Amino acid sequence: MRVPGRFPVAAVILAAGAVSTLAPVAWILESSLKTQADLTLGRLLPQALHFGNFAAVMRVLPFALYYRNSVLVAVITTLAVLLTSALAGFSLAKYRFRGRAGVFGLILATMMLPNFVFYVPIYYMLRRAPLFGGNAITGAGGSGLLDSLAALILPYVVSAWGVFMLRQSMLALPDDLLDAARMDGASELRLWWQVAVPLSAPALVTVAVFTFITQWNNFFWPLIVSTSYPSTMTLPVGLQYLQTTLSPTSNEQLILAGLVIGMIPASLVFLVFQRYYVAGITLGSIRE
Amino acid sequence: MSVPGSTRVSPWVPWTFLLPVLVFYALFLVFPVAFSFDVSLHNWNMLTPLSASPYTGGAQYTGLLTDPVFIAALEHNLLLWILGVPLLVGIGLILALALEAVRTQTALRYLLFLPATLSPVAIGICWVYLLSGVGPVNAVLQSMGLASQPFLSSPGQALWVILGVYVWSTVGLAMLVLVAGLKSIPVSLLEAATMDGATGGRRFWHITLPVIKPSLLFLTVTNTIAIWQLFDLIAGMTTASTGGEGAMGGPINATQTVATYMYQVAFQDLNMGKASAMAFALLIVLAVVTLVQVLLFRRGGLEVN
Repeated sequence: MRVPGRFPVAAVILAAGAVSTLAPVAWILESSLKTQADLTLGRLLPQALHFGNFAAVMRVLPFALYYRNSVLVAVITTLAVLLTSALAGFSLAKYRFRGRAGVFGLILATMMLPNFVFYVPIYYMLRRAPLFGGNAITGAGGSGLLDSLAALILPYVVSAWGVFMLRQSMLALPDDLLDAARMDGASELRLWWQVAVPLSAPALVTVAVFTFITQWNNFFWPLIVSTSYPSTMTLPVGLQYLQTTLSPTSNEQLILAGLVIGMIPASLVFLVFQRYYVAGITLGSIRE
Repeated sequence: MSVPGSTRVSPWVPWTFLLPVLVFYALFLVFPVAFSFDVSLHNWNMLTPLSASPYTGGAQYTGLLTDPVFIAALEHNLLLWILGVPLLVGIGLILALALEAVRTQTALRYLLFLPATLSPVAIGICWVYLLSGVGPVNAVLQSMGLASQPFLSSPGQALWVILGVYVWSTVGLAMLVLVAGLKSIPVSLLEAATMDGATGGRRFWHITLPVIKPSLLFLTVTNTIAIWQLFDLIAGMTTASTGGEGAMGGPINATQTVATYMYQVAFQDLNMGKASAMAFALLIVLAVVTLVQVLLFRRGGLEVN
Protein backbone atom coordinates (compact mmCIF):
# COMPACT_ATOMS: atom_id res chain seq x y z
CA MET A 1 0.00 0.00 0.00
CA ARG A 2 2.58 2.53 1.13
CA VAL A 3 4.59 2.60 -2.08
CA PRO A 4 6.46 5.95 -2.19
CA GLY A 5 5.93 6.35 -5.92
CA ARG A 6 2.17 6.53 -5.41
CA PHE A 7 2.34 9.46 -3.04
CA PRO A 8 1.90 12.30 -5.56
CA VAL A 9 -1.22 10.69 -7.13
CA ALA A 10 -2.76 10.12 -3.71
CA ALA A 11 -1.91 13.67 -2.63
CA VAL A 12 -3.49 15.16 -5.76
CA ILE A 13 -6.68 13.09 -5.27
CA LEU A 14 -6.94 14.09 -1.62
CA ALA A 15 -6.25 17.74 -2.35
CA ALA A 16 -9.04 17.74 -4.94
CA GLY A 17 -11.36 16.07 -2.46
CA ALA A 18 -10.46 18.52 0.31
CA VAL A 19 -11.00 21.57 -1.90
CA SER A 20 -14.35 20.38 -3.22
CA THR A 21 -15.45 19.65 0.36
CA LEU A 22 -14.16 22.80 2.00
CA ALA A 23 -14.80 25.44 -0.68
CA PRO A 24 -18.63 25.26 -0.61
CA VAL A 25 -18.72 25.25 3.21
CA ALA A 26 -16.24 28.13 3.38
CA TRP A 27 -18.33 30.15 0.91
CA ILE A 28 -21.49 29.62 2.99
CA LEU A 29 -19.66 30.70 6.15
CA GLU A 30 -18.17 33.89 4.75
CA SER A 31 -21.29 34.73 2.76
CA SER A 32 -23.36 34.75 5.94
CA LEU A 33 -21.43 37.94 6.75
CA LYS A 34 -22.23 39.67 3.43
CA THR A 35 -24.81 42.30 2.57
CA GLN A 36 -27.45 41.58 -0.04
CA ALA A 37 -25.50 43.87 -2.39
CA ASP A 38 -22.33 41.77 -1.97
CA LEU A 39 -24.33 38.68 -2.93
CA THR A 40 -26.20 40.21 -5.86
CA LEU A 41 -22.98 41.59 -7.32
CA GLY A 42 -21.35 38.18 -6.85
CA ARG A 43 -18.50 39.52 -4.71
CA LEU A 44 -16.28 36.68 -3.53
CA LEU A 45 -15.62 38.35 -0.16
CA PRO A 46 -17.84 40.73 1.83
CA GLN A 47 -16.82 44.41 1.77
CA ALA A 48 -17.36 44.53 5.53
CA LEU A 49 -18.28 41.79 7.98
CA HIS A 50 -21.99 42.01 8.79
CA PHE A 51 -22.43 40.04 11.99
CA GLY A 52 -25.77 41.81 12.24
CA ASN A 53 -27.19 39.19 9.84
CA PHE A 54 -27.27 36.70 12.70
CA ALA A 55 -29.20 38.97 15.04
CA ALA A 56 -31.52 39.93 12.20
CA VAL A 57 -32.44 36.36 11.26
CA MET A 58 -33.03 35.48 14.89
CA ARG A 59 -35.55 38.32 15.06
CA VAL A 60 -37.36 36.93 12.01
CA LEU A 61 -37.59 33.30 13.16
CA PRO A 62 -37.58 31.73 16.65
CA PHE A 63 -34.28 29.88 16.46
CA ALA A 64 -34.21 29.41 20.24
CA LEU A 65 -37.48 27.49 19.98
CA TYR A 66 -36.12 25.37 17.10
CA TYR A 67 -33.00 24.54 19.11
CA ARG A 68 -35.03 23.74 22.21
CA ASN A 69 -37.35 21.45 20.22
CA SER A 70 -34.50 19.74 18.37
CA VAL A 71 -32.55 19.11 21.59
CA LEU A 72 -35.60 17.85 23.49
CA VAL A 73 -36.73 15.53 20.72
CA ALA A 74 -33.24 14.14 20.04
CA VAL A 75 -32.33 13.66 23.72
CA ILE A 76 -35.64 12.12 24.83
CA THR A 77 -35.84 9.84 21.79
CA THR A 78 -32.25 8.71 22.29
CA LEU A 79 -32.82 7.91 25.98
CA ALA A 80 -36.03 6.05 25.16
CA VAL A 81 -34.35 4.04 22.42
CA LEU A 82 -31.49 3.12 24.76
CA LEU A 83 -33.94 1.98 27.43
CA THR A 84 -36.21 -0.09 25.18
CA SER A 85 -33.28 -1.55 23.23
CA ALA A 86 -31.33 -2.54 26.34
CA LEU A 87 -34.40 -4.18 27.90
CA ALA A 88 -35.40 -6.10 24.79
CA GLY A 89 -31.81 -6.89 23.84
CA PHE A 90 -31.21 -8.45 27.24
CA SER A 91 -34.34 -10.55 26.99
CA LEU A 92 -33.52 -11.80 23.49
CA ALA A 93 -29.87 -12.50 24.30
CA LYS A 94 -29.96 -14.02 27.75
CA TYR A 95 -33.23 -15.93 28.20
CA ARG A 96 -34.47 -19.06 26.49
CA PHE A 97 -38.22 -18.93 25.98
CA ARG A 98 -40.82 -20.01 23.48
CA GLY A 99 -41.43 -17.28 20.91
CA ARG A 100 -37.97 -15.74 21.16
CA ALA A 101 -36.99 -16.59 17.59
CA GLY A 102 -40.35 -15.27 16.37
CA VAL A 103 -39.97 -11.92 18.13
CA PHE A 104 -36.39 -11.51 16.92
CA GLY A 105 -37.39 -12.44 13.37
CA LEU A 106 -40.20 -9.87 13.42
CA ILE A 107 -37.81 -7.16 14.60
CA LEU A 108 -35.27 -8.01 11.88
CA ALA A 109 -37.96 -8.10 9.19
CA THR A 110 -39.20 -4.61 10.05
CA MET A 111 -35.74 -3.12 9.57
CA MET A 112 -36.45 -3.39 5.84
CA LEU A 113 -39.76 -1.51 5.74
CA PRO A 114 -39.63 1.95 4.16
CA ASN A 115 -40.76 4.70 6.55
CA PHE A 116 -43.33 5.90 4.07
CA VAL A 117 -45.59 2.99 4.94
CA PHE A 118 -46.06 4.48 8.42
CA TYR A 119 -46.50 8.21 7.96
CA VAL A 120 -50.18 8.33 6.95
CA PRO A 121 -51.53 5.94 9.61
CA ILE A 122 -49.40 7.36 12.43
CA TYR A 123 -50.42 10.91 11.56
CA TYR A 124 -54.05 9.85 11.73
CA MET A 125 -53.56 7.88 14.97
CA LEU A 126 -51.87 10.78 16.73
CA ARG A 127 -54.52 13.23 15.60
CA ARG A 128 -57.23 10.92 16.89
CA ALA A 129 -55.52 10.05 20.21
CA PRO A 130 -58.31 10.29 22.81
CA LEU A 131 -58.20 12.81 25.66
CA PHE A 132 -55.26 14.79 24.25
CA GLY A 133 -55.29 18.16 22.51
CA GLY A 134 -58.98 18.73 23.11
CA ASN A 135 -60.07 15.32 21.84
CA ALA A 136 -63.07 13.55 23.34
CA ILE A 137 -62.67 10.03 24.73
CA THR A 138 -63.72 8.74 21.29
CA GLY A 139 -60.86 10.64 19.67
CA ALA A 140 -63.16 13.14 18.01
CA GLY A 141 -62.62 16.89 18.07
CA GLY A 142 -59.24 18.56 18.54
CA SER A 143 -55.69 17.90 17.44
CA GLY A 144 -54.86 14.90 19.62
CA LEU A 145 -51.12 14.57 20.23
CA LEU A 146 -50.16 16.33 17.01
CA ASP A 147 -49.62 19.74 18.58
CA SER A 148 -47.02 18.45 21.07
CA LEU A 149 -43.44 17.25 20.84
CA ALA A 150 -44.77 13.80 21.80
CA ALA A 151 -45.86 13.50 18.17
CA LEU A 152 -42.20 13.74 17.14
CA ILE A 153 -40.95 11.32 19.79
CA LEU A 154 -43.49 8.50 20.18
CA PRO A 155 -43.11 6.93 16.70
CA TYR A 156 -39.33 6.60 17.24
CA VAL A 157 -39.24 5.19 20.79
CA VAL A 158 -38.45 1.70 19.50
CA SER A 159 -35.63 1.07 17.06
CA ALA A 160 -35.27 -2.34 15.43
CA TRP A 161 -31.63 -1.58 14.77
CA GLY A 162 -31.09 -0.57 18.42
CA VAL A 163 -32.63 -3.83 19.69
CA PHE A 164 -30.45 -5.75 17.25
CA MET A 165 -27.25 -3.98 18.35
CA LEU A 166 -27.91 -4.46 22.06
CA ARG A 167 -28.85 -8.10 21.57
CA GLN A 168 -25.61 -8.74 19.71
CA SER A 169 -23.64 -7.00 22.42
CA MET A 170 -25.36 -8.82 25.30
CA LEU A 171 -24.94 -12.24 23.66
CA ALA A 172 -21.29 -11.90 24.64
CA LEU A 173 -22.08 -11.63 28.38
CA PRO A 174 -21.00 -14.85 30.13
CA ASP A 175 -23.95 -16.78 31.61
CA ASP A 176 -21.74 -17.80 34.55
CA LEU A 177 -21.43 -14.17 35.56
CA LEU A 178 -25.20 -13.72 35.59
CA ASP A 179 -25.68 -17.01 37.48
CA ALA A 180 -23.15 -15.96 40.10
CA ALA A 181 -25.07 -12.75 40.67
CA ARG A 182 -28.32 -14.74 40.91
CA MET A 183 -26.73 -16.96 43.57
CA ASP A 184 -26.00 -13.81 45.53
CA GLY A 185 -29.71 -13.04 45.44
CA ALA A 186 -29.76 -10.32 42.78
CA SER A 187 -33.13 -9.83 41.10
CA GLU A 188 -33.38 -10.10 37.30
CA LEU A 189 -33.88 -6.33 37.05
CA ARG A 190 -30.72 -5.73 39.10
CA LEU A 191 -28.81 -8.16 36.88
CA TRP A 192 -29.88 -6.10 33.90
CA TRP A 193 -29.10 -2.72 35.42
CA GLN A 194 -25.91 -3.53 37.31
CA VAL A 195 -24.31 -6.19 35.11
CA ALA A 196 -25.71 -6.21 31.58
CA VAL A 197 -26.13 -2.46 31.00
CA PRO A 198 -22.66 -1.36 32.20
CA LEU A 199 -20.95 -4.14 30.23
CA SER A 200 -22.80 -3.05 27.06
CA ALA A 201 -21.53 0.53 27.24
CA PRO A 202 -19.81 0.52 23.82
CA ALA A 203 -22.95 -0.68 22.03
CA LEU A 204 -25.05 1.82 23.99
CA VAL A 205 -22.77 4.69 22.97
CA THR A 206 -22.95 3.65 19.31
CA VAL A 207 -26.73 3.40 19.38
CA ALA A 208 -26.95 6.73 21.22
CA VAL A 209 -24.77 8.58 18.72
CA PHE A 210 -26.61 7.17 15.71
CA THR A 211 -30.06 7.74 17.16
CA PHE A 212 -29.22 11.29 18.20
CA ILE A 213 -27.84 12.26 14.79
CA THR A 214 -30.73 10.60 12.93
CA GLN A 215 -33.26 12.44 15.09
CA TRP A 216 -31.36 15.72 14.88
CA ASN A 217 -31.51 15.58 11.08
CA ASN A 218 -34.96 14.00 10.84
CA PHE A 219 -37.03 16.02 8.41
CA PHE A 220 -40.02 14.39 6.71
CA TRP A 221 -42.01 13.52 9.84
CA PRO A 222 -41.38 16.81 11.72
CA LEU A 223 -42.26 18.64 8.50
CA ILE A 224 -45.71 17.11 8.19
CA VAL A 225 -46.45 17.38 11.91
CA SER A 226 -45.36 20.99 12.35
CA THR A 227 -46.93 22.34 9.16
CA SER A 228 -50.13 22.75 11.16
CA TYR A 229 -48.45 23.24 14.56
CA PRO A 230 -45.42 25.58 14.20
CA SER A 231 -44.66 25.42 17.94
CA THR A 232 -43.26 21.91 17.31
CA MET A 233 -40.84 22.98 14.56
CA THR A 234 -37.33 21.55 14.81
CA LEU A 235 -34.19 23.01 13.23
CA PRO A 236 -34.34 21.27 9.82
CA VAL A 237 -38.00 22.25 9.44
CA GLY A 238 -37.18 25.78 10.62
CA LEU A 239 -34.46 26.10 7.97
CA GLN A 240 -36.84 24.92 5.27
CA TYR A 241 -39.46 27.36 6.58
CA LEU A 242 -36.82 30.09 6.50
CA GLN A 243 -36.23 29.70 2.79
CA THR A 244 -39.92 29.48 1.93
CA THR A 245 -40.84 32.45 4.17
CA LEU A 246 -38.13 34.95 3.25
CA SER A 247 -37.81 36.14 -0.30
CA PRO A 248 -34.53 34.67 -1.55
CA THR A 249 -33.93 37.60 -3.88
CA SER A 250 -33.85 40.24 -1.14
CA ASN A 251 -32.94 38.27 2.00
CA GLU A 252 -30.32 35.81 0.84
CA GLN A 253 -27.86 37.00 3.52
CA LEU A 254 -30.40 36.24 6.25
CA ILE A 255 -31.07 32.75 4.91
CA LEU A 256 -27.34 32.05 4.80
CA ALA A 257 -26.91 33.35 8.37
CA GLY A 258 -29.81 31.11 9.44
CA LEU A 259 -28.13 28.11 7.79
CA VAL A 260 -24.92 28.78 9.69
CA ILE A 261 -26.77 29.12 13.01
CA GLY A 262 -28.76 25.97 12.29
CA MET A 263 -26.08 23.60 11.09
CA ILE A 264 -22.58 24.56 12.22
CA PRO A 265 -22.76 23.90 16.01
CA ALA A 266 -24.14 20.37 15.57
CA SER A 267 -21.72 19.69 12.74
CA LEU A 268 -18.76 20.41 15.02
CA VAL A 269 -20.13 18.12 17.73
CA PHE A 270 -20.77 15.32 15.22
CA LEU A 271 -17.23 15.63 13.86
CA VAL A 272 -15.93 14.92 17.36
CA PHE A 273 -18.05 11.77 17.52
CA GLN A 274 -16.86 10.62 14.09
CA ARG A 275 -15.18 7.45 15.35
CA TYR A 276 -18.44 6.16 16.87
CA TYR A 277 -20.00 6.46 13.43
CA VAL A 278 -17.33 4.16 12.10
CA ALA A 279 -17.58 1.79 15.05
CA GLY A 280 -21.34 1.51 14.55
CA ILE A 281 -21.09 1.05 10.83
CA THR A 282 -18.43 -1.62 11.10
CA LEU A 283 -20.54 -3.51 13.62
CA GLY A 284 -23.52 -3.04 11.31
CA SER A 285 -21.73 -4.40 8.28
CA ILE A 286 -20.58 -7.57 10.00
CA ARG A 287 -24.12 -8.87 9.95
CA GLU A 288 -24.38 -8.59 6.18
CA MET B 1 -25.17 -28.38 36.26
CA SER B 2 -24.08 -26.58 33.13
CA VAL B 3 -27.61 -25.47 32.24
CA PRO B 4 -27.66 -21.66 32.03
CA GLY B 5 -29.35 -19.89 34.93
CA SER B 6 -32.04 -18.64 32.63
CA THR B 7 -33.87 -21.97 32.85
CA ARG B 8 -34.61 -21.36 36.51
CA VAL B 9 -36.21 -17.98 35.86
CA SER B 10 -39.96 -17.53 35.61
CA PRO B 11 -41.13 -17.45 31.97
CA TRP B 12 -42.72 -14.06 32.67
CA VAL B 13 -39.33 -12.39 33.09
CA PRO B 14 -38.19 -12.32 29.43
CA TRP B 15 -41.63 -11.15 28.28
CA THR B 16 -41.60 -8.37 30.88
CA PHE B 17 -38.27 -7.12 29.54
CA LEU B 18 -39.75 -7.22 26.04
CA LEU B 19 -42.98 -5.46 27.01
CA PRO B 20 -42.06 -1.85 26.11
CA VAL B 21 -40.77 -2.90 22.69
CA LEU B 22 -43.80 -5.09 22.04
CA VAL B 23 -46.28 -2.37 23.01
CA PHE B 24 -44.65 0.24 20.78
CA TYR B 25 -44.22 -2.29 17.98
CA ALA B 26 -47.89 -3.12 18.05
CA LEU B 27 -48.92 0.56 18.17
CA PHE B 28 -46.43 2.18 15.79
CA LEU B 29 -45.47 -0.67 13.49
CA VAL B 30 -47.79 -3.62 13.19
CA PHE B 31 -51.03 -1.68 13.37
CA PRO B 32 -49.88 1.12 10.99
CA VAL B 33 -48.75 -1.36 8.33
CA ALA B 34 -52.13 -3.11 8.38
CA PHE B 35 -53.98 0.20 8.52
CA SER B 36 -51.89 1.62 5.68
CA PHE B 37 -52.71 -1.36 3.48
CA ASP B 38 -56.40 -0.93 4.23
CA VAL B 39 -56.11 2.77 3.33
CA SER B 40 -54.50 1.87 -0.01
CA LEU B 41 -57.72 0.02 -0.92
CA HIS B 42 -59.87 3.10 -0.32
CA ASN B 43 -60.37 6.60 -1.59
CA TRP B 44 -59.74 8.45 1.67
CA ASN B 45 -58.98 12.07 2.60
CA MET B 46 -58.39 11.52 6.36
CA LEU B 47 -61.20 13.91 7.25
CA THR B 48 -63.90 11.23 7.48
CA PRO B 49 -63.62 7.80 9.12
CA LEU B 50 -61.97 5.27 6.80
CA SER B 51 -64.99 2.99 7.01
CA ALA B 52 -67.18 5.75 5.52
CA SER B 53 -64.93 6.25 2.49
CA PRO B 54 -65.41 4.56 -0.89
CA TYR B 55 -63.74 1.14 -1.29
CA THR B 56 -61.68 1.07 -4.47
CA GLY B 57 -60.06 -2.37 -4.35
CA GLY B 58 -56.81 -2.40 -6.31
CA ALA B 59 -57.74 0.69 -8.32
CA GLN B 60 -55.18 2.89 -6.50
CA TYR B 61 -52.44 0.46 -7.55
CA THR B 62 -53.47 0.16 -11.19
CA GLY B 63 -53.96 3.94 -11.26
CA LEU B 64 -50.29 4.40 -10.37
CA LEU B 65 -49.21 2.55 -13.51
CA THR B 66 -50.96 5.12 -15.70
CA ASP B 67 -49.91 8.17 -13.66
CA PRO B 68 -47.17 9.89 -15.70
CA VAL B 69 -45.81 11.77 -12.66
CA PHE B 70 -45.43 8.56 -10.65
CA ILE B 71 -43.73 6.81 -13.56
CA ALA B 72 -41.40 9.80 -13.99
CA ALA B 73 -40.66 9.75 -10.25
CA LEU B 74 -39.77 6.04 -10.44
CA GLU B 75 -37.48 6.75 -13.40
CA HIS B 76 -35.75 9.54 -11.47
CA ASN B 77 -35.19 7.26 -8.46
CA LEU B 78 -33.90 4.54 -10.80
CA LEU B 79 -31.43 6.92 -12.46
CA LEU B 80 -30.20 8.31 -9.14
CA TRP B 81 -29.78 4.77 -7.81
CA ILE B 82 -28.02 3.23 -10.84
CA LEU B 83 -25.55 6.11 -11.13
CA GLY B 84 -25.42 7.28 -7.51
CA VAL B 85 -24.35 4.05 -5.82
CA PRO B 86 -21.41 3.21 -8.13
CA LEU B 87 -20.22 6.85 -8.15
CA LEU B 88 -20.42 7.10 -4.40
CA VAL B 89 -18.72 3.77 -3.71
CA GLY B 90 -16.14 4.33 -6.46
CA ILE B 91 -15.11 7.81 -5.36
CA GLY B 92 -15.24 6.75 -1.71
CA LEU B 93 -12.88 3.85 -2.50
CA ILE B 94 -10.45 6.07 -4.44
CA LEU B 95 -10.36 8.52 -1.53
CA ALA B 96 -9.93 5.71 1.00
CA LEU B 97 -7.01 4.18 -0.96
CA ALA B 98 -5.44 7.63 -1.35
CA LEU B 99 -5.84 8.28 2.38
CA GLU B 100 -4.12 4.98 3.19
CA ALA B 101 -1.16 6.03 1.04
CA VAL B 102 -0.35 9.28 2.83
CA ARG B 103 0.87 10.16 6.31
CA THR B 104 -1.39 13.03 7.43
CA GLN B 105 -4.59 11.04 7.70
CA THR B 106 -6.48 12.46 10.67
CA ALA B 107 -6.99 16.05 9.54
CA LEU B 108 -7.97 14.94 6.04
CA ARG B 109 -10.40 12.38 7.42
CA TYR B 110 -12.18 15.04 9.45
CA LEU B 111 -12.25 17.43 6.52
CA LEU B 112 -13.62 14.94 3.99
CA PHE B 113 -16.20 13.73 6.49
CA LEU B 114 -17.52 17.27 7.10
CA PRO B 115 -20.47 17.22 4.63
CA ALA B 116 -21.76 13.98 6.14
CA THR B 117 -22.31 15.81 9.44
CA LEU B 118 -24.68 18.39 7.92
CA SER B 119 -28.42 17.84 7.74
CA PRO B 120 -29.54 17.00 4.18
CA VAL B 121 -32.11 19.82 4.07
CA ALA B 122 -29.47 22.36 5.06
CA ILE B 123 -27.11 20.94 2.43
CA GLY B 124 -29.85 21.28 -0.16
CA ILE B 125 -30.52 24.91 0.74
CA CYS B 126 -26.80 25.71 0.71
CA TRP B 127 -26.45 24.38 -2.82
CA VAL B 128 -29.38 26.48 -4.01
CA TYR B 129 -27.21 29.53 -3.27
CA LEU B 130 -23.94 27.96 -4.40
CA LEU B 131 -25.54 27.24 -7.77
CA SER B 132 -27.63 30.38 -8.23
CA GLY B 133 -27.14 32.72 -11.17
CA VAL B 134 -24.89 35.05 -9.14
CA GLY B 135 -23.48 32.22 -7.03
CA PRO B 136 -19.86 31.10 -6.74
CA VAL B 137 -20.10 28.07 -9.04
CA ASN B 138 -21.25 30.19 -11.95
CA ALA B 139 -18.61 32.78 -11.05
CA VAL B 140 -15.95 30.08 -11.38
CA LEU B 141 -17.40 28.93 -14.72
CA GLN B 142 -17.37 32.49 -16.06
CA SER B 143 -13.82 33.12 -14.88
CA MET B 144 -12.78 30.08 -16.92
CA GLY B 145 -14.51 31.57 -19.95
CA LEU B 146 -17.45 29.15 -19.82
CA ALA B 147 -21.13 29.99 -20.08
CA SER B 148 -23.09 30.35 -16.88
CA GLN B 149 -25.53 27.47 -16.25
CA PRO B 150 -29.13 27.49 -14.97
CA PHE B 151 -28.57 24.31 -12.89
CA LEU B 152 -31.58 23.88 -10.56
CA SER B 153 -33.91 26.07 -12.61
CA SER B 154 -33.37 23.93 -15.71
CA PRO B 155 -35.57 20.82 -16.07
CA GLY B 156 -32.74 19.19 -18.03
CA GLN B 157 -30.03 19.80 -15.44
CA ALA B 158 -31.73 19.74 -12.04
CA LEU B 159 -31.73 15.97 -11.54
CA TRP B 160 -28.03 15.73 -12.44
CA VAL B 161 -27.28 18.46 -9.94
CA ILE B 162 -29.14 16.51 -7.27
CA LEU B 163 -27.16 13.38 -8.14
CA GLY B 164 -23.93 15.37 -7.76
CA VAL B 165 -24.92 16.90 -4.43
CA TYR B 166 -26.03 13.52 -3.08
CA VAL B 167 -22.65 12.04 -3.91
CA TRP B 168 -20.88 15.13 -2.50
CA SER B 169 -22.74 14.86 0.78
CA THR B 170 -22.31 11.13 1.38
CA VAL B 171 -18.91 10.29 -0.07
CA GLY B 172 -17.11 11.15 3.19
CA LEU B 173 -19.04 8.53 5.10
CA ALA B 174 -18.40 5.97 2.35
CA MET B 175 -14.71 6.77 2.56
CA LEU B 176 -14.66 6.24 6.34
CA VAL B 177 -16.41 2.89 6.05
CA LEU B 178 -13.95 1.76 3.39
CA VAL B 179 -10.94 2.99 5.38
CA ALA B 180 -12.16 0.81 8.24
CA GLY B 181 -12.47 -2.07 5.77
CA LEU B 182 -8.98 -1.51 4.37
CA LYS B 183 -7.50 -1.47 7.88
CA SER B 184 -8.73 -5.04 8.37
CA ILE B 185 -6.44 -6.34 5.60
CA PRO B 186 -3.47 -8.15 7.18
CA VAL B 187 -0.31 -6.29 6.19
CA SER B 188 1.59 -9.59 6.11
CA LEU B 189 -0.74 -10.84 3.37
CA LEU B 190 -0.03 -7.84 1.14
CA GLU B 191 3.70 -8.12 1.81
CA ALA B 192 3.69 -11.82 0.95
CA ALA B 193 1.83 -11.08 -2.29
CA THR B 194 4.36 -8.40 -3.20
CA MET B 195 7.24 -10.83 -2.54
CA ASP B 196 5.54 -13.32 -4.83
CA GLY B 197 5.63 -10.65 -7.51
CA ALA B 198 1.95 -9.72 -7.57
CA THR B 199 1.34 -6.37 -9.27
CA GLY B 200 -0.70 -3.58 -7.69
CA GLY B 201 -3.73 -4.45 -9.78
CA ARG B 202 -3.59 -8.14 -8.91
CA ARG B 203 -3.07 -7.41 -5.20
CA PHE B 204 -6.11 -5.12 -5.27
CA TRP B 205 -8.30 -7.64 -7.10
CA HIS B 206 -7.32 -10.77 -5.15
CA ILE B 207 -6.65 -9.44 -1.65
CA THR B 208 -8.10 -5.96 -1.07
CA LEU B 209 -11.43 -6.40 -2.84
CA PRO B 210 -12.47 -9.67 -1.17
CA VAL B 211 -11.63 -8.27 2.28
CA ILE B 212 -13.63 -5.06 1.82
CA LYS B 213 -16.58 -6.86 0.21
CA PRO B 214 -18.75 -6.58 3.37
CA SER B 215 -18.10 -2.82 3.47
CA LEU B 216 -19.04 -2.50 -0.21
CA LEU B 217 -22.23 -4.49 0.30
CA PHE B 218 -23.11 -2.41 3.35
CA LEU B 219 -22.64 0.88 1.47
CA THR B 220 -24.60 -0.43 -1.51
CA VAL B 221 -27.57 -1.61 0.53
CA THR B 222 -27.81 1.44 2.84
CA ASN B 223 -27.45 3.95 0.00
CA THR B 224 -29.94 2.04 -2.12
CA ILE B 225 -32.49 2.39 0.67
CA ALA B 226 -31.59 6.07 1.13
CA ILE B 227 -31.79 6.93 -2.59
CA TRP B 228 -35.12 5.19 -3.16
CA GLN B 229 -36.52 7.23 -0.24
CA LEU B 230 -34.68 10.44 -1.15
CA PHE B 231 -36.67 13.44 0.10
CA ASP B 232 -34.76 15.91 2.32
CA LEU B 233 -32.15 16.96 -0.21
CA ILE B 234 -34.75 17.54 -2.93
CA ALA B 235 -37.04 19.44 -0.57
CA GLY B 236 -34.13 21.70 0.34
CA MET B 237 -32.98 22.20 -3.25
CA THR B 238 -36.19 22.60 -5.21
CA THR B 239 -38.62 24.40 -2.92
CA ALA B 240 -37.10 27.91 -2.96
CA SER B 241 -35.40 27.93 -6.32
CA THR B 242 -38.64 27.28 -8.14
CA GLY B 243 -40.85 29.19 -5.73
CA GLY B 244 -43.45 27.93 -3.31
CA GLU B 245 -44.32 24.74 -1.48
CA GLY B 246 -46.11 23.15 -4.42
CA ALA B 247 -43.04 23.32 -6.61
CA MET B 248 -41.11 20.68 -4.64
CA GLY B 249 -39.72 18.16 -7.12
CA GLY B 250 -39.59 20.84 -9.81
CA PRO B 251 -38.97 22.46 -12.14
CA ILE B 252 -42.00 20.85 -13.84
CA ASN B 253 -41.59 17.55 -11.94
CA ALA B 254 -38.05 17.14 -13.28
CA THR B 255 -36.71 16.14 -9.85
CA GLN B 256 -39.85 14.45 -8.55
CA THR B 257 -39.04 11.25 -6.66
CA VAL B 258 -41.43 8.71 -5.20
CA ALA B 259 -40.94 10.38 -1.80
CA THR B 260 -41.53 13.99 -2.86
CA TYR B 261 -44.55 12.95 -4.92
CA MET B 262 -45.93 10.94 -2.02
CA TYR B 263 -45.56 13.98 0.25
CA GLN B 264 -47.63 16.07 -2.13
CA VAL B 265 -50.26 13.41 -2.78
CA ALA B 266 -50.73 12.67 0.92
CA PHE B 267 -50.25 15.94 2.73
CA GLN B 268 -51.16 18.55 0.14
CA ASP B 269 -53.83 16.77 -1.97
CA LEU B 270 -55.02 14.65 1.02
CA ASN B 271 -55.27 11.63 -1.30
CA MET B 272 -54.32 9.09 1.35
CA GLY B 273 -55.38 5.99 -0.60
CA LYS B 274 -53.10 6.81 -3.51
CA ALA B 275 -50.21 7.79 -1.21
CA SER B 276 -50.50 4.50 0.70
CA ALA B 277 -50.51 2.54 -2.55
CA MET B 278 -47.32 4.38 -3.48
CA ALA B 279 -45.75 3.43 -0.15
CA PHE B 280 -46.43 -0.25 -0.79
CA ALA B 281 -45.20 0.03 -4.36
CA LEU B 282 -41.98 1.47 -2.94
CA LEU B 283 -41.78 -1.39 -0.44
CA ILE B 284 -41.96 -3.92 -3.26
CA VAL B 285 -39.35 -2.08 -5.35
CA LEU B 286 -36.99 -1.88 -2.36
CA ALA B 287 -37.43 -5.55 -1.49
CA VAL B 288 -36.67 -6.64 -5.07
CA VAL B 289 -33.72 -4.28 -5.47
CA THR B 290 -32.15 -5.29 -2.16
CA LEU B 291 -32.57 -8.98 -2.92
CA VAL B 292 -30.94 -8.56 -6.33
CA GLN B 293 -27.97 -6.76 -4.76
CA VAL B 294 -27.40 -9.37 -2.10
CA LEU B 295 -27.55 -12.13 -4.72
CA LEU B 296 -25.17 -10.25 -7.04
CA PHE B 297 -22.66 -9.82 -4.25
CA ARG B 298 -23.02 -13.44 -3.21
CA ARG B 299 -22.39 -15.15 -6.53
CA GLY B 300 -21.10 -12.86 -9.24
CA GLY B 301 -18.70 -10.03 -9.87
CA LEU B 302 -16.67 -9.60 -6.77
CA GLU B 303 -16.20 -13.23 -5.84
CA VAL B 304 -12.91 -13.86 -7.55
CA ASN B 305 -11.20 -16.47 -5.41
